[in-house]
Amino acid sequence: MRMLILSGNDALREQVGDIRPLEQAIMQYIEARCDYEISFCYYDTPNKYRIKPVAREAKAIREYILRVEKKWGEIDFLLLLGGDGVVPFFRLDNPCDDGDENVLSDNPYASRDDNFIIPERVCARIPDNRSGDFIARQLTKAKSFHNKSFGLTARVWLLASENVYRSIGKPGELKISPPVTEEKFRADWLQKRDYLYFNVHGSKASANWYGQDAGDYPVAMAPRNVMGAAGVVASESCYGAYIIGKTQDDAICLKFLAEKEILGFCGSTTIAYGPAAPPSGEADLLVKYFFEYLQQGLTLGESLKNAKLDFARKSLRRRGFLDDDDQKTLLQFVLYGDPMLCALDEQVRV
Amino acid sequence: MTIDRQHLDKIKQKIADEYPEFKDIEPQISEKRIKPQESVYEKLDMGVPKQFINVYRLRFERTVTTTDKVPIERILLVTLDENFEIIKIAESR
Repeated sequence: MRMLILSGNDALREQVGDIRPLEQAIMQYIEARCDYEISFCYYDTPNKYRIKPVAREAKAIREYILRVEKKWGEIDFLLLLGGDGVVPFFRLDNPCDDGDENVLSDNPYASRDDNFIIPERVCARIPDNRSGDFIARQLTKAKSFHNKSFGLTARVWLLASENVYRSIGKPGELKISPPVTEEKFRADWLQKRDYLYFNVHGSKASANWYGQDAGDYPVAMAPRNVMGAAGVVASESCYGAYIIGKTQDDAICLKFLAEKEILGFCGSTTIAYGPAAPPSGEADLLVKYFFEYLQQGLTLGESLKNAKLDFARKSLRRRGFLDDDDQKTLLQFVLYGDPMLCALDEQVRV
Repeated sequence: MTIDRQHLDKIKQKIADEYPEFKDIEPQISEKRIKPQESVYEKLDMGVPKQFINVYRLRFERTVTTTDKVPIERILLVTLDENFEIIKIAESR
């Protein structure tokens, strides 16, 4: 199995300052993962593949990856280091007629051909959060197995959420908002867990996630509610994985990743969709499959990739085509964190 | 063929009953001719795609405000088949 770790030297320096400690952490990571063939390079500096450096543009960086693959062989795992300012998201045409001008996506990096909807390799990203130490810490994550999960749903989507949560816990355990609000949120709900599931509202303009009961939209959770959290996070909220111009102070996903025992975060960069009740569709179905693969012991990266493939197959079998919101779901969900970690390992460590 | 008033009223009534927050919202209606998605089928080893399919999309949209005064765009998408039967309903998260 081959893994390419890719970043931009200039851009990374701009975002985090001194990158030498991070480079050292990457080398230690590569040495520790001797079961994989791992290569690390910057797209904008001379490299061992003798590939011409490229500019900080998504299309050029994708071409660069394809050229590395030609020289090195098939890349199974791709790990992008840095946020949009280092390795830009692709801005793809939005298949849905909604408020998003484009869909921010990493799917083209996971694809070898021009059909970006269906990924062919694992692709994950470690956002920079303006800190080299933040990135390095994602490469040394460890947690114990607790055999416990947590789920939070907007009241209006309780039935839909129960159908997803069933794969990781007992539906009766789900917390519901309202009555749950940021004031009533207990930090220990997120501690000593293996999986954390969220089916709540989100907004690009706010750091918070929201519940719903009819016309009431309370703040269900704020970044300050994340303390000592553990596990793999999957969130269906709109903009749950939106990180442009954000840090852990105003993005729950980054706050989660700053936690020592959070292995990864799977979420949407833009407006996401789902049904109000079963059967699961769109974001519900994708997250359900993601959890199911994690439960089988697959890595985080393989779990999201396989979830996308199964999601597409299921949608085609149901209707014969991928409609607008199916396509958007496949493009908008991204994985943050080390894609090689498994949720099920007794002691997950690099 | 465009969706007639009778079918539209029936769907609007269903939405009003099951999704009361979208009651009295006039949907934007679009007709889509879905091309066979050969490359998707090919990448998934799923054989031959269906031929052209016509669907109708009804988009109900409104802006709500959260308790901390953040505006959120709420969207409800209803997909209909050629016979104006509902294939699926999805709402923004």
